[in-house]
Amino acid sequence: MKRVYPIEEFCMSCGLCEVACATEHSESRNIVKAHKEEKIVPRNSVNRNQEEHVSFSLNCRHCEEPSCVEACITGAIDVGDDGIVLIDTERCVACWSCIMACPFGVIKRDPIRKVSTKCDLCVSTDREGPSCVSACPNRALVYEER
Amino acid sequence: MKYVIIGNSAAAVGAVTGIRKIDKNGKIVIISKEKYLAYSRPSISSLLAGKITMEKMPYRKKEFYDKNGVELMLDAEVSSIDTSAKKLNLTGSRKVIKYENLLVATGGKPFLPPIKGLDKEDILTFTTLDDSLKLKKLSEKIHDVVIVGGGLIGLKAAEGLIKAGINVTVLELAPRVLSAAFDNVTSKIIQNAFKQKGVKIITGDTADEIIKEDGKIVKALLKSGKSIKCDAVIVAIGVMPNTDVLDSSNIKTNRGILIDDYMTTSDKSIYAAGDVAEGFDMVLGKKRVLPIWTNAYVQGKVAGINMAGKKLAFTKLLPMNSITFCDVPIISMGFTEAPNKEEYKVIEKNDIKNNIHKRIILKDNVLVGCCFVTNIDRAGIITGLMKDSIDVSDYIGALLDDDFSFAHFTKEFRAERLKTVNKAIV
Repeated sequence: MKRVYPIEEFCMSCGLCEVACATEHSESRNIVKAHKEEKIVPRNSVNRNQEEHVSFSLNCRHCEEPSCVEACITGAIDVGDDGIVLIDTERCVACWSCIMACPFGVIKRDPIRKVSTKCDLCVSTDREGPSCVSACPNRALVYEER
Repeated sequence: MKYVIIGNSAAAVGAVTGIRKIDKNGKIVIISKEKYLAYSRPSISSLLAGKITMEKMPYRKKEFYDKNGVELMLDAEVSSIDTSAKKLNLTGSRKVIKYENLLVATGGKPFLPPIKGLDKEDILTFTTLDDSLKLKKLSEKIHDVVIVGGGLIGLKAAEGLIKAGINVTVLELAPRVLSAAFDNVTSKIIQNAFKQKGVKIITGDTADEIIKEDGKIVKALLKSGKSIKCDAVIVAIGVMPNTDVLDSSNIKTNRGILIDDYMTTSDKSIYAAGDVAEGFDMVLGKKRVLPIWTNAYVQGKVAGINMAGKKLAFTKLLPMNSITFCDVPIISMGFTEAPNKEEYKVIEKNDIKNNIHKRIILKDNVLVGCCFVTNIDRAGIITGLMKDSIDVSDYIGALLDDDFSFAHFTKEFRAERLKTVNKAIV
């Protein structure tokens, strides 16, 4: 299946991938409102090591055998037939077991909605391909089959 | 092939998933003492607290069983196993269930040491959905509750009850609460958080006798001589493996059912998984019962895969807990206190006033334990490094930073890890 892969040599640490993600997953689809009013947590994160000048954007790896699915105490996380790992936030009780389990550290807490949140490859927003990939100004993210 | 699973919680669900990875058609029968579809056992406290409703309790919905062709026998109890004839006898029924491969996933049952004056019918426990419903109903009538045991279950019951406006006193015999699953700093923070919510926690003491008047509980007398007014008592000292069905069999048990890396018991056609089993704890280096949801699911899945004929070992069993008390999230894995100062190194970062605590424990530069309080984000990276026994010398100084991520790994290790972690196991 296609996944989002970072190319760290190209990443400038700008964080536009996070802005695009938050906007894409907002009600308003407005770049300012998503951040200031809806307080949307971006589902990806720029992993940074300031000292070494290393940075790259990382989102859910959509594992074939996800540790988060094993750890989820309510059955809220599942792998779809398309291989995409999704959280049913209606069933999430904010126990953070998935955060304890994910070896990539890509599941985040949404403190406002009190649920776990992570990349859904933009399938929930009816978009053609992930928004972070389109937003990256230096093509440091690719969406491809590997 | 015919698979029979006794129990219907995390390990059973994991087993169905595991079996179906290999065998799409073999008949699967689940026999459960409880009358519910698999439900989120840890969420019974959220139910008691009124945070969620019954509709949110199912761990797997009916479609899961239908899709996987599982025959469900709910509200049915296995009385004994005839291992030579490979059949199960049911309580109160003449029906006999035959199996080719059997999984014992009967979980745990509350440990109930006798307390003077506390009659069997007065004992309240907090491990099942029915317990939670019973307590919820009772909470409309009672005012003062004594909880014996300050572990995960006892404190979760306490949290649920204070939401219902009940006065709660928790008695913990150890010098601190949560001593089995968390370190002393975490205990201190949580104990304080409960205190602020008005829960009284008494450590180093326990109930000696329950006093009744006119058939009703009125107070608890403690070992220290103290007297606590109460109209109900919850016993939450711990759970122990529910090995009852094996009583008349020759399957080897210690505290729990002894299993190997393939979840096989001493009988080659019988497997065990979850809270009933004793698996090999990778950091402790010996077999122990680890009553933890995630482990139950994984052990169940691995058992299922092996039952269906594919050999697969599971050797990464780790104690791990993620739970929130009084809005303070806490996570622990492996050792929470160093077993000794010579071999183990403890590194901490604390801001206890703000409920922030991070501790890691290393042995020969390999992570063997941790505790995180409040700032729990990306704790899973630590879990991954621990499970794979990775030497962390290169980035040891960054492990406790809040922005610790894959960016702190060497480029080669990062590339390797991004490529190989969590590929399909079969």
